[in-house]
Amino acid sequence: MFSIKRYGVELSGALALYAALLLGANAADRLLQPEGAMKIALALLPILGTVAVAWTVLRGLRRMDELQRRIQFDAIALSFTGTALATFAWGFAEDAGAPELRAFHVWPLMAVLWVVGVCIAQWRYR
Amino acid sequence: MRNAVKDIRTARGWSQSELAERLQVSRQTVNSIENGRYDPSLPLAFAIARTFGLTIEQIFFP
Repeated sequence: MFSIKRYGVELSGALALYAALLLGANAADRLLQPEGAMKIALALLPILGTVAVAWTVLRGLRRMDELQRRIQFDAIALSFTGTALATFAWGFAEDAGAPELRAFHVWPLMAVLWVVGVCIAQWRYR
Repeated sequence: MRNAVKDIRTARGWSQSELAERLQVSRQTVNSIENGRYDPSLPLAFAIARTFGLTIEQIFFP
């Protein structure tokens, strides 16, 4: 069964791993100043931490009961469609001269819409 | 769908948390079912009926 305490501990651990890998990769990049494939591999090292975060989130979802999953489904649907519409619209705007959107900006948008979606769904089923 | 979950639960002196623990669901789920905000799946409805020792028809009404 889903436990917010257990989920918090697991998510904190995964985020700590991400932070450690990010700091380590940045430090190694400054010290070693690698080039080519090695530089790319070092830049991608923190992704291992994000995989741990994703795995933690998926494990949390599998432990949820049916209403909690329904709430997450509603929130993810809002996040998915909202992000799709926003990025698609921005793509058209880029053709008209708007600045290019970096891939880094997509996830925060998705996360904000996810949180908004959870709040709306929880209010709906309250 | 209407239901008598709250009436049956309170008649037995159980809290929402206690019923949630027996059903292995969150307290929010019990609360949403009692308020009619959420209709449980058939497996959960059977679990509720089994926990109360009643039939589904005695708990849920169309």
